[in-house]
Amino acid sequence: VPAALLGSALLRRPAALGAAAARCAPARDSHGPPRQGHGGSKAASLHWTGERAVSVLLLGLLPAAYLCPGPAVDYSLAAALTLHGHWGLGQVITDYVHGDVPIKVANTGLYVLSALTFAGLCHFNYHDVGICKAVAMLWSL
Amino acid sequence: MATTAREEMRRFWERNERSGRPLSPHVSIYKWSLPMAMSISHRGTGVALSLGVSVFSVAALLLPEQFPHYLAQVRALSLGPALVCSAKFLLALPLCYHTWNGVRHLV
Repeated sequence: VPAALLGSALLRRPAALGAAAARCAPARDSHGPPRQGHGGSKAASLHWTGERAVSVLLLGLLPAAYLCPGPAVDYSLAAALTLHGHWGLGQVITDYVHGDVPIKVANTGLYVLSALTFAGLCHFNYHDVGICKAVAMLWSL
Repeated sequence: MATTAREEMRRFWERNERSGRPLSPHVSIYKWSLPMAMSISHRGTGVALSLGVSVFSVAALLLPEQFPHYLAQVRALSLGPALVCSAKFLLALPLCYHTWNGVRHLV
């Protein structure tokens, strides 16, 4: 969550810097080194890369689920599906929810939902037939 | 000292919200384009799939019986091939759309 906010803050920073510099040009040097910006943390871009990596992983798991169903694919699917969904819904929240408190509430709710989802999928894999088998059974209906 | 970007954003939003200005129409008047439609469909299918998976997981945690039991119940309803096929299509469509459009984003 802070990473996503940092990302959008990083994007808007150059415009704000430009406006601030235009307003106080002689005192530009009193600005000092920027706390965020070019020397800042790589959290946002790492998050982005992580999102792509999990997407590719999930994509690969789909044929794997069809060709070699089993507990390994079941648990990997549970993890990749939950994480991909968690990050995706996180982006939706970042886009549409505004205000410090609503954002915090929404993200906390998302964490709870994702935790429940992962727990439920693992429970299903362990105590029930497992995701791959379940899809196969459902489709044979 | 100059203000931070975050502080300037906060001031802008405070003043903007205080002035109570009406929002100009955007979604209702802007001409829909294919990229726009595909993008919002990608998001819509993504949210729907996520919520579907979550509902399934919570059901797996809460419901007393195992999956085959409920599947047998559905089979016992003898819904007829047309309904079963349409249901499978409705389940598969968002997944396929989101997957293929996702590949388009990844490439």
